[in-house]
Amino acid sequence: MRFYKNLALSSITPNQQQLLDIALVLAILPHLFIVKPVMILYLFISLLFLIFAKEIKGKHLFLFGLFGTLALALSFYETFTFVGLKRLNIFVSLVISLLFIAVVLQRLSKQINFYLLFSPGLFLALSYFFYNTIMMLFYAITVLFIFLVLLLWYRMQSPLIDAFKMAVSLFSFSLPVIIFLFLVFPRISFETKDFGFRGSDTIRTGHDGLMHIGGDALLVPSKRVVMEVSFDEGVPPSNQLYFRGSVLYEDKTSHWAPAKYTARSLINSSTEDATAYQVTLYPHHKKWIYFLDYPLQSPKEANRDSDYIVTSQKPITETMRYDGYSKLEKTLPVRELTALKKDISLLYDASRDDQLYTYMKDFDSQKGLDELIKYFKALKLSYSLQPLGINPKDPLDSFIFGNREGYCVHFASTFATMARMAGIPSRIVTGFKANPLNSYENYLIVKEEDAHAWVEVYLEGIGWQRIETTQYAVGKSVQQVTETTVEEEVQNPIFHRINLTYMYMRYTLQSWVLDYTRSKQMQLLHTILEDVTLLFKFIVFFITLGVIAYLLRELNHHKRTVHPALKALSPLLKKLKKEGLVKKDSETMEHFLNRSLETSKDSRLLQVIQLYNEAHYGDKESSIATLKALIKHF
Amino acid sequence: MRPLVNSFLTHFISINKSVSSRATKYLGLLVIIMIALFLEAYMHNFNIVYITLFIVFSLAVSGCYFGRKNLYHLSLLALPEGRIFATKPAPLKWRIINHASNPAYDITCTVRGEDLPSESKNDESSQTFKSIEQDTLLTLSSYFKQRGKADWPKVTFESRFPLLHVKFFKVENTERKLIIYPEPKGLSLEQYLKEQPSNYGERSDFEGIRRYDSSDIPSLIHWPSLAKGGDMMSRNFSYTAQLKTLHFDFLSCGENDEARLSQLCLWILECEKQGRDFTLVMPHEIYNSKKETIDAILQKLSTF
Repeated sequence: MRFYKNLALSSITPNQQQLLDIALVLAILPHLFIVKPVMILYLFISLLFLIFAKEIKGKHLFLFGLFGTLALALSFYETFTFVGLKRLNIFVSLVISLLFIAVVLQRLSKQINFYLLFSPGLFLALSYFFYNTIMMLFYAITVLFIFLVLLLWYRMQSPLIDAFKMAVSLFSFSLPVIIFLFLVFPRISFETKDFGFRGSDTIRTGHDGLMHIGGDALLVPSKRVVMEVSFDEGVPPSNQLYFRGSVLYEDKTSHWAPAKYTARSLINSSTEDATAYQVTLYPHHKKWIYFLDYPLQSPKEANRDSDYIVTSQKPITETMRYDGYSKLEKTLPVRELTALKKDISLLYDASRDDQLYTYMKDFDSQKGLDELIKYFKALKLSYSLQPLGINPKDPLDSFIFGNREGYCVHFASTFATMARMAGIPSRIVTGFKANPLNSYENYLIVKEEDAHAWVEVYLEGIGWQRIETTQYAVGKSVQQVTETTVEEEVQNPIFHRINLTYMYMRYTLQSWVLDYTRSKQMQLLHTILEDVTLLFKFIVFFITLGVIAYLLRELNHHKRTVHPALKALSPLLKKLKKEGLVKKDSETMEHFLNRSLETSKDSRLLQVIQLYNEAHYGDKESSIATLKALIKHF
Repeated sequence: MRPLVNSFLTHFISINKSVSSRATKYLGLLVIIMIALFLEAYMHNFNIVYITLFIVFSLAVSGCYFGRKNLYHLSLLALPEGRIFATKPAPLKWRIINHASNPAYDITCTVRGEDLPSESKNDESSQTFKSIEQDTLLTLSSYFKQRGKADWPKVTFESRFPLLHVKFFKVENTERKLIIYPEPKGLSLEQYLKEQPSNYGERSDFEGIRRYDSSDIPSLIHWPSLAKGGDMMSRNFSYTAQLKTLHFDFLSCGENDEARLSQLCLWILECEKQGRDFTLVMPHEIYNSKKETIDAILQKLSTF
């Protein structure tokens, strides 16, 4: 602590090379997560030589160049092709590696040139090709601020604290301009899918388009975020938070799979009375784009089929942000069912699930859905995230007539099969059922653990209707189980809240800072121009920022040390002030004392002038003592 | 509110008026950096790059305000000290007063007088300070071609603080006058006295002969020595008493007024050095070193 205090207050300024090293370390840091280990090893060895060797030149420097080239060759041995250079990230990686070698060689020669001075800025700019996150934004702003402090420290040759204060003042003065430019600077961009950072942030979604129900049923307990959703008007209630993924028709015993037919595409519907929301979907390398049940529109270059499943043309390998419009109803507006679809929605294997088939033999198919639900309820199935005794070869009978414990997939597959046995077309929908506990104001997080399956039954004249099969479980409902699980897992609810708030802030920053697009810009400008109050608020905001910046500058004023000679004079100045003699800003102390001497004719002032000059310019301590004594007797 | 805004604006206008600026080569670099960042942002639509671009631009803009403010509060007070002669490097002193509560950083002060002749050019015409706290002494060399009254030369404060892309200037005029004395030049006093022996007193006893000096007047030549075929010798006399007061005549000491004034200036300075009194006969006045100070006489010469 003392070291830092001393460093901040000490007037010893590091030399240019030391300041440059600090800047280089800060700028290189993000690249260490990208470059290959062999290049990191090269940097590490160079660092050791830099610390322990005096100066490296001639043959040794040439050897270092050779090692660098070798490290470069090993780094790009697998990935490099001349065609690959067309891809910007490979090209930029190559440039960064070359820059590493150049900086190492220049730094080892211990000679500072313009290119070395410029390299920290270049490293920082190149790191933007690989990182486009809120964390990187904060890091970049911090590094730019530190660069400024270092530059000012070097220029001012004063204690670090003074340079820091000056940098704070400069930054705070710049802030209104930065915000103004950020809001209004035209966002024109050259869009190309081959450029930029791709795919390292891939996650599993918990939804893979199939539904396994046997022993290999995969329950996804991960808390990793699949998508973040921001609603225009608050998060809808829990029973409407169904994000549609896949529609499964075929029962393959161990799993349910989609039907092998091509669903026709739907054209976009009107978004009137729809629930509007924005989704940030993280890369999952599949084609599904999730929307609340049921979606009215699909994004560009995506398809919405007649089962209301939205898929992208290519796997989603980058974070995708899209607007969603959904009608939050449990019945899909499909009035007629094609013969093919009806057939595949009624298929079941009576020989496989013979016990269930026997159970359903008494069912009166005229009584319809309500009777079916009664039959299902009568099975007294319990909801459990750790079911036991489910046989993959006979999953339904072993579930229903065994331990009677299962989770969404077991409930859904049983209900769908029972519906088919009752002559009601049915299918299973998999996707996500978001947990309202993961919401904050109008922001909702959907995690892997929210993966869910439910059933849709076709009712003549009505359409496909969603059935939440787990609600018929004995004991705790799925919602209660899920919420209890969340609460159990979140041992500290305060921490959960803080975490949620942090994620909300991160999401808000992400959507309003990093994802601030031309459309958002135009939307904001239109809103401001239409809403006078908002315009007024903006003006007040900028004035406040300006005032804060000005006040910060005033507060950051360096307190000047008063020379002891001036301190000694202060009682005399007070006395002279009483006599109407006030020192003007434009005159020096000596000038003022001479003027006072002419006015007051007090000869002692002559001695004061002499002593003051000796003390002030000759730095004589004895003169200060004499001066003080003389002034005392005035 | 209105007076506050007015004073704020007046302050800004005043800063802009009194401190001027000029771009440096680093501004070119800054522009290149900004174009590169824009292209990167344009290609990728990365707001993070746009934000960096805006930060760089905004820092450059606010750096201009801080740079102007750095010089704005500096003023100068001329400190008259010493004699200044025409065509000689003149050491001048000022006191730099910083009216701000913050120090001013990276200041170079340059005197804006007439150009120093190449043979006497040195670095003393400018002085650099890492920081100027409240009160700092400034000593710079200037150069004046002509005698007479002159304005104190203007001093330019220059600074590239806080960033390097713009150089700021503030020209300070002290509004005081200087007296430039004539250039002390011509025959030395000793030489003059040899040529004008009466100024030394009356010749009395013959003391002997000595080797002839080219400055000796013909009446001192010892002709017998020469007649005998020896070297040219001069007669040496002792003088009864040195004259206490020397007499200089303006009209007889040079070919033109400037040469006369320079000659007189040299003799006066030598008299002052040797502690000798003199009278100076000017066309309409007579100056006596007993009645007037040397500086007063020199001032009269400089304004002749």
